[in-house]
Amino acid sequence: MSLYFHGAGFTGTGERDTIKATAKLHKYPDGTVEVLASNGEIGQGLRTTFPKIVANELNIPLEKVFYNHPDTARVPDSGPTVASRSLMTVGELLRHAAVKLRSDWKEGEDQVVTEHYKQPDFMIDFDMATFSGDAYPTYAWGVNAIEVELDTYTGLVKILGAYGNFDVGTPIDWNIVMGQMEGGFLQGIGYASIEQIGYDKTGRIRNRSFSDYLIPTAMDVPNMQCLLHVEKYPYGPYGAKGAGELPLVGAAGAYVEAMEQALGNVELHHAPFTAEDAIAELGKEAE
Amino acid sequence: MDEIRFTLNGEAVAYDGSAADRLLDVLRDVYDDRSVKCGCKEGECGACAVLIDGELVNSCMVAMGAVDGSAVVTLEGYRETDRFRALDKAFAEVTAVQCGYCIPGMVLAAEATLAKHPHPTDDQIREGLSGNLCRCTGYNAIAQAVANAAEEANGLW
Amino acid sequence: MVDGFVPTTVEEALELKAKFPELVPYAGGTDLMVENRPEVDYLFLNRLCDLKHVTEDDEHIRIGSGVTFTKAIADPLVPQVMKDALVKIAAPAIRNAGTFGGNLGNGSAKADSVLVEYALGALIRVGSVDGDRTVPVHEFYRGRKQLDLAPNELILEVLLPKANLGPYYYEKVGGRRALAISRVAFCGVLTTEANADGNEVIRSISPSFGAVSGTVLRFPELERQFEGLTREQAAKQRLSFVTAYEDHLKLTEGRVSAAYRRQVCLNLLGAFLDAVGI
Repeated sequence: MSLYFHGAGFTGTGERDTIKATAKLHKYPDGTVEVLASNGEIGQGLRTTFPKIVANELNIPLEKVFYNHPDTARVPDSGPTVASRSLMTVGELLRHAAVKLRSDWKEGEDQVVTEHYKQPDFMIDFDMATFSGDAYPTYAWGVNAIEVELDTYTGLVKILGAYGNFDVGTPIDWNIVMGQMEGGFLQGIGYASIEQIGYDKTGRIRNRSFSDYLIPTAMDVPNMQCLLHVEKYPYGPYGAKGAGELPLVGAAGAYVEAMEQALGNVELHHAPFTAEDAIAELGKEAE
Repeated sequence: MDEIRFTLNGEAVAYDGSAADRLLDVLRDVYDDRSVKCGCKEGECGACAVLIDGELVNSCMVAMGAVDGSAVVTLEGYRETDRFRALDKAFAEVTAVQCGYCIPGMVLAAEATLAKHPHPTDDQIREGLSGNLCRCTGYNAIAQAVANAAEEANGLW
Repeated sequence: MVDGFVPTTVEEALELKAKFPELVPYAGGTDLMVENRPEVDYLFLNRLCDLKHVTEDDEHIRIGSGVTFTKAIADPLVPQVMKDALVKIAAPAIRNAGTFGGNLGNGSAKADSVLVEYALGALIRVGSVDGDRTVPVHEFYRGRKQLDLAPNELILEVLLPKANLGPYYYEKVGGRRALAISRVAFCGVLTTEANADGNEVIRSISPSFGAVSGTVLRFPELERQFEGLTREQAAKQRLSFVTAYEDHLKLTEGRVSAAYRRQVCLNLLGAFLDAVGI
């Protein structure tokens, strides 16, 4: 089992001093609203969740709001698509922009609203010299439990159950967040168990293809269950926090601890912990 | 062999390139069926899966000469069917698509699975999808979508 | 430009192979297309119905070299020990294309169907315009990627001797539960017969190890120790039997270490002996 957290957004004052995000809404005369931001849609669902926030704040149908794949010639710099920040930081900028647009809505007119990032008042500046202050504005939290059955002849592990409870604040879209949690969790289990990278004698990575770098298939963890626990973050849109990275982080700790128990209360300190590692550990015990 | 004759999504075609060419490359570059994705070119990911004579096959593992006389179906053809519409709806309802790269192969793997098991168990679904790697979803939503499609399909498979 | 040949009968295929020995036989394509050599001319065998049979005679179960793994899994004549291996090959799309002939012809010690063929003492029937010949699978493999197959010959059939079917133990160790190339694989079969005194004694025992060396490993000279013994007698000699394997298992390193492979081989040998009551 693992209990863990992951910082949401850029570290320290990075959002204020380095990224300085700007986001825009462009309302067209026909009443449709375009989101203008630089965050890429890579399957994490921003083209759905950004418009959901804006449509909700403007109280207009979701179909009236759209977010095209960003073209940097047209969009403001709202920062990179990293650090579990897009929804929490840029989503909140867009919410603020939508609030402004709502109060200044002029039917039939072309309007553009711009919003710049402001660091929340409560944050204590992070000091890079002393490593003190608020490292992150908030954290996402997770609890993972993984149940394993070890074949002592081969070292192969059957994952009997993988359970994750994740707090990423308010889910703007439940399906999307759940997809992120399940996908990240399985990736973490892969990292913990089979995704070994090896080097040859000259230092070249040996995993040069999909047959050498193994990721889980649909059959590897058929019994993964995820839950959402909601602790709202007041400075994220409707209480949303960072979600992208969290689900990957805790799997290795939970898996390796399960392997410690399966092997008889040994102490293990690395991931991935592979079938080969398990047989080596059993060999030590036999001696 | 003068030319390689086969049907592509129901239409008779003749290919006069090399018999050693990969079906994957020919589908994308000659017939413009871009749903067929190239992931690995070694049969390890399923992104290029198509149906040949009704069976799921990775098109990267097929030389054109082997296609002679076959019926090849890609997502471009399959999407015209009621079965596709049932899967499309089911995938959308549970948000089974994230980046989408695996999805054309995944949908055809779902079709092959349901053709074999119209009322599949979770194990049968997962075995049916086991040759199609997905790095985004963790597979739960995709497996759920296939199960939902089977349940709501009402005799489509 | 279309090269490559699509014969419609085995005779035609053999004539083409005699005339153009450099033709590369193409069955399922699942190994050949990884290499994807655009310069080769393929002899496409995938449409040859004559090679897609599963039949039996008094002595053998006969599997055509063009039979796909999917077809074999569904065929009632194919023994369960073989099916145990086939269902773990890659994933459906590969099993729909991959064939027995291709698995043999690729010449790899990781070929999952070939391991079972070793354990069952299978015979491989190959043919040319000059006629057929049948060769035991362990002689068919001369070394890594080296086969007893002349340039004018094609693999026609795999013959599984019915007399060699019996209680078995099969295990594949791959990196994950599907789409996994064997890192170690084990197959062993025990057959027994009544001796002159009417006791049930061991006729054959066939521990075979796949994916751990240049070819599948099987040691007939070690197996003889148990032949003619009752299970109880064999059980008393189990330690020396296993020790002999410890001495003979010289394994190569691959995606996993030789030490791991060796330990797993010995573990699985032990599991096999447990399973068959020795």
